Amino acid sequence: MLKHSGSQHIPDSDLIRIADGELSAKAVSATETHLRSCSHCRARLDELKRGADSYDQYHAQVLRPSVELPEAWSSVAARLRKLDETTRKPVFPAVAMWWGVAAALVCCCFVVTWSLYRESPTRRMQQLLTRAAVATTPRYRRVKVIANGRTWYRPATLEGETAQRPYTDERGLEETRAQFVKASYKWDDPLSVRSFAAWRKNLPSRRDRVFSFQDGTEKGRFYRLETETAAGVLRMATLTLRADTLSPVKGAFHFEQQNDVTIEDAGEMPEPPGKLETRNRPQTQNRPLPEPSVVKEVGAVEELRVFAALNAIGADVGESVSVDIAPSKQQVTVAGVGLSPDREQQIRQAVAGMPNTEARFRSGQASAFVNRLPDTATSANAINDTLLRQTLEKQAGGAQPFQTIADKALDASSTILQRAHALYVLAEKFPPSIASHFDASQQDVLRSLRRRHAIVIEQAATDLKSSLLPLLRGTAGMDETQTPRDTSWEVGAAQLYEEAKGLDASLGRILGGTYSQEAGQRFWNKLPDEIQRLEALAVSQEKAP
Amino acid sequence: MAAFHLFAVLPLMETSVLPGSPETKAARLENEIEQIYRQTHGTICSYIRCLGVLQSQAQEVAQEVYLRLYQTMRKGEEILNVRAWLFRVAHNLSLNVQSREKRFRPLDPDWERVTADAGESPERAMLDREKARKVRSALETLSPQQRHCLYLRAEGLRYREIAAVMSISPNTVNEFLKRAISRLAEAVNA
Repeated sequence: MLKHSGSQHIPDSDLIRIADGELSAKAVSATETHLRSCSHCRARLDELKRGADSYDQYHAQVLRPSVELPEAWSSVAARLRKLDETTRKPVFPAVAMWWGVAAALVCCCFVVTWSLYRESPTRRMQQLLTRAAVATTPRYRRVKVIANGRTWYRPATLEGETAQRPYTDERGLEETRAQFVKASYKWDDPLSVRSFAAWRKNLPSRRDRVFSFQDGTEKGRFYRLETETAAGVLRMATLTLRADTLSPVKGAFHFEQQNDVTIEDAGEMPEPPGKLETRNRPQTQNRPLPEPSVVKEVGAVEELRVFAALNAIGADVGESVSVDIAPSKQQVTVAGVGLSPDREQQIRQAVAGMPNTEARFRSGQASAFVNRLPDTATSANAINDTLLRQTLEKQAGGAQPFQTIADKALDASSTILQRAHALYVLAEKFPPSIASHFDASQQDVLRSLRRRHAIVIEQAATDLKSSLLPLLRGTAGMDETQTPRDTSWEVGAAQLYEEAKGLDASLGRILGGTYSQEAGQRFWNKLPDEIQRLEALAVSQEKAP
Repeated sequence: MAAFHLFAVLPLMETSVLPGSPETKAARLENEIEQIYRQTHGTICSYIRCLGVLQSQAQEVAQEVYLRLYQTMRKGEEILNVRAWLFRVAHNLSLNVQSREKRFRPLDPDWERVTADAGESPERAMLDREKARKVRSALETLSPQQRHCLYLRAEGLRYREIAAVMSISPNTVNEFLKRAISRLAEAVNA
């Protein structure tokens, strides 16, 4: 992507985001300045708008009306009621009436006993709070505070002077801080189980509720602890915990005067520099105290944190972004080339609050991974008029279906290559000799990053296989199962990257048409094996400990 | 670049735990589901159809989406963005239906039929026939993922929401849309 200055033009992807209102206000301002002075970009923006408008019109006036189905709420309602009846009233067969009665009596006894001894919400909450208080949580965290329609980021825990008075970045939060202090809720550590428990314990009257739920968009279960009270200025506090680690991820606070405050976990951060004195309290007796001063020399741990932060915004895949330790070993450098201002801002925000981390960006051509996405508009058209191509088109059912298959296959291959590269970078940066010095939570972070990449590769390999299925019919080797040799994950990652490069090159040649008839046939014949090997390597990566 | 915003209210809507007896709770929950159904049924059904699910099965899949919403809300689970949740479940269920049928479709036959029908019915569309034909031809050259991104964008979903529905990153959504809209622009500006 290009910086929008001088004679350089705004890329289509940014123009489309401008038209869709998906660029940040700052980025829009920069691009508007360029647009005012560049007739080429203005004309291109208009072209793209016409293209998008034509689809919107087609969507609204042709497509939607032609596929709409009549409402059938009555049948949905009937199914909802039936669902309720089945869950509430189990039906016993008539022939087993007496057995049913006996079973009902036993059930009644069980229910009475259970209701006598079952956990009340208060008791369940107490148990969860006790367990959560000793659970391991990341040592240094940031939180996002949303209050009065504004958002702030701050360290999760404030200590020393900063706990008593707001520091520079937090001045706008003074009113919110005052509310917490008035409610006797610890402002220096608001997103913590201990603070929640301490506030709850001192309430003269309260009503507790505990919910367990699955997030619709994220994988994983959560507990929501909710305490309501009629006393004090803080009328209701809700703390959401991850079910697996019991670490708090979100707190919601409803104050007497109807103003709500939300505090969310914003990820890990290294220990901030000296005067701020912000760190998380160790959660167990055995946990070593955090280092008291600024990090003097950075290493793999800091680098891993940066990777995790980039992964959270999807910037560790397919972007021209690199993470390295500076030669002085005093700083982790995040370097990006040719990113949009919006993306640069996102990356800066992702690593904000991480001392000894610097983000540097420069304009220019993006790396191979950004531009590697094949231009499928021309790739399939450019294919040579060879016998192989004719055969493939025939198998696909014509030139048009063949082009669609080529598009899908190249998309999948591109995804595989990007993810395999990201995995390979992790393997190079954090081999076992380095990862063995990580503590359990850091190893979890690394494992989680690796697995995410492996799962996507596996899915993309399946998609690739499906898309090529009509063309590969009759080709040997597609159903063979190949098990990779037992190797460590970093060796497997290197093999996977090599396989991904080989596969992408083969596909590019075959579907892009740059081959002789003989070579094309050779690439084609080995394609099923290449896909199979890559899939097996991805599965092996996913399962690697 | 006007997009459909059928869900002007829904983004603000979060599911909640309802107080009262089980019967009252069930009745209120049913009302809540009915409201959501009436606001979203058309668009969810259309999306299911455009994912390649046959008309005979689409109504069934759509009902399953709302049954799952009911079950999820009845358990007291929190859904922060109902419309994205509905699209995501519809997306997954539709793919399951396709996978169960074990039919491979390089181009969704329903989509082809739909677009062909649309082109043959000028009284239904205010679009110029020639323009509709160009758009339809351009759509046929797009990958299903690019078409799905366009569809969801036209339904008013933000890139972040489209990414959640399709289990891809917002950057990939941007890339798919860039390629799709560029091709549409080529077609209509030619």
